[in-house]
Amino acid sequence: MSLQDVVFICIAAMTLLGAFLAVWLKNVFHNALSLILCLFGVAALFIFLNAEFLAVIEVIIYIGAISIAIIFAIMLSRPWFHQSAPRDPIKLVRSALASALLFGGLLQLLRLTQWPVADPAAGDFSMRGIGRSLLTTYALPFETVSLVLLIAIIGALVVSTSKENSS
Amino acid sequence: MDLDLLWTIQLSPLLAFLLITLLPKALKKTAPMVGIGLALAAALASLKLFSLHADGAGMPQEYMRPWFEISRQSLWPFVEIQNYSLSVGFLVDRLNLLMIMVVTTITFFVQLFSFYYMAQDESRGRYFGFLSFFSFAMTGLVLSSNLLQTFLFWELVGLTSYLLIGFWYQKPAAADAARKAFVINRLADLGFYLGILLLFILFGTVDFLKLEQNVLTQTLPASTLTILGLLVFTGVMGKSAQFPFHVWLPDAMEGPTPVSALIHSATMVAAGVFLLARAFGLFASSQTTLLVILIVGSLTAVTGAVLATVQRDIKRILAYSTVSQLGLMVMAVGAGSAVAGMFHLTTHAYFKSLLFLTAGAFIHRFHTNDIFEIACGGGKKELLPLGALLLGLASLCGVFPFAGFFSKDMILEVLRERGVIFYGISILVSFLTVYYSSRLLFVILFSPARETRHGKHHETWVSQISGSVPLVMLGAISVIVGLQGTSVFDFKILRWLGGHETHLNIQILWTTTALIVGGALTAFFLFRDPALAEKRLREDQGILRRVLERKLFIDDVYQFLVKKVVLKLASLLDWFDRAFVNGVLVNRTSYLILGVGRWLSRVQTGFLQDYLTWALTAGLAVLFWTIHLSSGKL
Amino acid sequence: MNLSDSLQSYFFISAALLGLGVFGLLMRRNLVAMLISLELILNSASLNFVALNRFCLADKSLGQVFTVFIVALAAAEVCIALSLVLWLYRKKESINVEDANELKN
Repeated sequence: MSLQDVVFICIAAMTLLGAFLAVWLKNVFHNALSLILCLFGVAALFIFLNAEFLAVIEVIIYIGAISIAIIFAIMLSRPWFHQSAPRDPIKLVRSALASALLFGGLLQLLRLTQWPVADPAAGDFSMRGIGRSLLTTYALPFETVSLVLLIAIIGALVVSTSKENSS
Repeated sequence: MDLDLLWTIQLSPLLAFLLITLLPKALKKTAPMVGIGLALAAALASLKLFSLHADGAGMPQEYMRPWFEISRQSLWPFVEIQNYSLSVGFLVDRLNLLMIMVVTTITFFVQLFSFYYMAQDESRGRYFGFLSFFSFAMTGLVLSSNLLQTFLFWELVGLTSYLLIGFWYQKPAAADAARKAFVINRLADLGFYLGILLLFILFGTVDFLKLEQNVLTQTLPASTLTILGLLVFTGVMGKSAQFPFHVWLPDAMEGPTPVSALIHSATMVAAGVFLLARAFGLFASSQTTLLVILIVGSLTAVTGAVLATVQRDIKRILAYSTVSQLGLMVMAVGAGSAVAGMFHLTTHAYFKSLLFLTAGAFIHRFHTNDIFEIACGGGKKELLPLGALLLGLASLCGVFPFAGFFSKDMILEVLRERGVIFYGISILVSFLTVYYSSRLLFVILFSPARETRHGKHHETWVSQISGSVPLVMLGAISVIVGLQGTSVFDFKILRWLGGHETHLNIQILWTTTALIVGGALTAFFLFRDPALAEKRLREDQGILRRVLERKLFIDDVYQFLVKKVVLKLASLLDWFDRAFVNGVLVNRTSYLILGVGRWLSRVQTGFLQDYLTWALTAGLAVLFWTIHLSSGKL
Repeated sequence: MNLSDSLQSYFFISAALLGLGVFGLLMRRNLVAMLISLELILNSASLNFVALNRFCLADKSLGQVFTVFIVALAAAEVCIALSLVLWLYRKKESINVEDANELKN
C-alpha cells in the first residue's frame, strides 16, 4: 500500500462521506455544505486522472457558482420556519432498496464489460488540446451549449419575474 | 328471347308497384290503369313464352348466375360433394310455364275486376300497388331456379298477403286476420327453412335441377330423406292451409274480395301444391313422407268440406271449400301423382277465382256477405253473376263437361288405386262439396225477393264492363281447361305435365254422378224453403252445430297454446334476459372493469417521487436483464 | 498496481455516487435537497467519462470535453430549477414536493 493509495483512499472516503451526508442530513443547509465537500473530493479525483483543467473548472463553477446558487435558493425559501417532518420509513426502505440494487447492478455490469486498454501517457490532456478540440471537432456541441445557456437564462428570468396571476 | 320474356313477366308488376308508389298525388287516379296495363303485359308475355315452348323442346332451361361458392368437402359422411354453391336465376320447364300462365292470366282478370269492385274506395292506389307487388313476388316464386330463392319470394308473398288482408286496417277484424295469417305462415315456414338448410348442408346446393339429380344418385338413410321431406312439407302446410294450419284462410276473407280471388284461391295457396310438384322427387323418395302428406291432405279435405256446410257468409263458404280442395290436391300428390294434383290446381284456380269474383259481384251489389240477405235482396235477378255462379259451382262439384269434372275424376282414380280408405274419404268430400254448393245455389234461387234495401248505385259503363268481362272470360276458360285433359283436345295438359292419358273410368263416372244427384237432392230438400231453413239454422243448438260453428274448436286450441305456453315462455325468457344477461353479464362486467380501473389509478398518487420510483424500477429491470443476457451471471 | 491506476476503483466511486444520488432523489421531500442529489448524479457521470477517457481512449480528450459540457448544462439546469423553486415557494408557501400533488389520480 503505497502513499499514493492511502491518499487516494482518503480522498475517495471524503467524497463518499460528503455524498452520503448530502442526502442523509435533515437540515438542507447542511446538505449543501456536504455537497461542497463532495465536490472538492471529485475535483481531487480529477487530478488523479490527469484532468487538471477539469478539476479547476469543477471548483470554480460547481462549487463557486452552482453550490452558491443552491444556497441562495435555500435561504430564499426560509428553511428555518419549517419543521421537517419525520421520515417515512416505507419511503426510506424502498428508496434504499432501489438505489442499492442500482448500485449493485451497475457495478456488476461495469465489472463484466471488457474495456479496451490504452496507454495513459499518450493522451493530450493539456488545456491547449482541450481548447483546440472545443473549437474544431466539437464546435457544434459547443455552440449548442451556449444556446442552451442563453435559453436557460431567459427562461429563468421569465419564470421568476412573472406575476402571481399570470402564471 | 326467352330471357327478355322472363324479365318482362317478372318485372312488369314490380314496375307497376314502383310507379304507383312514386306517383305524385295528382296522378294517383291512374293507378288502376298502371296496374291493369302491366298485368296485361305480364300475361301476354307469359302466353308468348308458352307458345315458344309449346312443343316442349329444349326444356328444362336454366338461366342462372352464381351467387357464391365455397369450396370444401362435404360436412356429412354419406355424401360426396366438391363445393357449396348458391345461385340465383330463372328456371323454365313445363311445370313452370303452365303455372305462370295460370298465375298471370288470373292476375290480369282480377286486376280488371278490381277496377269495378274498388271504384269507390279511396285507397285504390295502395290496393293496386300491393296487388302488383304480390304479382311480382308470386312470379318470382314460380320462376325461381332454386329453393332459397323460392323461399325468399315465399316470404314476400306472405308479406303481401298480410298487407292485402289487412287492407282495411281500420277494421279490427281485418287487422287481426292479417296478423293471424302472417304468424301462422311464419311458423310453418320455420320448418321449411330448416329443411332448406338441411338440404344445403347435405347436398351443397339448393338448385332444383341439381337436387333432382342428387336425390336420385346419392344414397342417404331413409330417415334423413323423410325428415327433409317433412320439413319442406311444413312450409306447404302453412301456405296451402293444410290441417292444422288452415285456420288463417277463412279469416283472410276480411280482405277485399278480388284479393281473395287472386291470392287465397288461385295463386298463393296454390304455391304450396306447386312446391310439392316441383320438389316431388324429394317427397317421393320416402314412403313415410308420402303417407304423412296423404293423411294431412285427407284431414284437411274433410275439415274444409264439413265446416263449409254451416257457413252463412258466402266468402266463408268459398274459403272452406278452397281448404277442402287444396286438401284433395295434396292427397293426390301424397298418393303419388303430382300430375293429378297440378291438373286439379289449374282447373281449381280458374273456377275458384271465377266463384270469388262472382261473390264479389254480389257483395258489391248488396253490401253484405250473408247469403240469406243476398238472396232476399233479389240476388237471383242478377243474371250475369248468377250464371257465372252456376258455372263455377258446377265445375266445383265435378259436373260433366265442366273443368272440375276431369281433374276431380283423375284424383278419384289415383286415390282409388292407392287405397280404399282414402278413396272413401274423397267420396265423402265430394258428396259434401255438392251439398254445400247446392245449398248456396238454392238459397239464392229459392228465396223470395223482398224489397231491396239498398238502392242500385249507378256505375260507369267502364266499370260495368270491367266487372263483367272477367266473369265471362274466366267462365269460358274454366270450361276449356277441363277439356284439355281429355281426348277432345288430345290430352294436352296431361301430356304436357307428363301424365298418362286417362280414359273415362266408367265406375268412377257412375259414382260421381250418384254423388252429384244425391248431394243436390239432399240440399234441395233441406233448402227448398230457405226462410224456414234459416229459422232452423238460427234455432238449432245441437251439439253438431255448435262444434261446427266453433270451427271444431281449433282456434280455441291455438288461443290456449298462445296464452298459456308461448306467452309464459316469453315472459320467462324476458326475466332471464333482464336478470342474468343484463344484470350479471353486462352490469357486473362493467362494475368489474370500473373497479379494476379505480384500483389501478391509485398508482397515480400525485407524488413525484412515487413516479420516479416506478421509473427506476423499470430501469432496474432492464439493467438486470441486460446483465443476464450478456453474461448469464447475476 | 496502485489503486489510483485501476479503472475499477473509479467505477466503484462513481457507482456509489450514483446510488447515493438516486437515494436522495427518491427520498427527500425538500425540492432543493432533490436538486442536490441531482448534482451528485451528474458528478458521477462526469467522473465516469473522465476515468474512461484516461484508461481507454487516450488519444483524444473526448471525456474531458464532455465533462465541460456536463458542467455547463448543470449550471443551466440549476439556474432554471432554482427559479422554479422560488416560484413554487411563492405559490405554496413550502417547497415540499409532497404538497405539489395536483396530478393525483
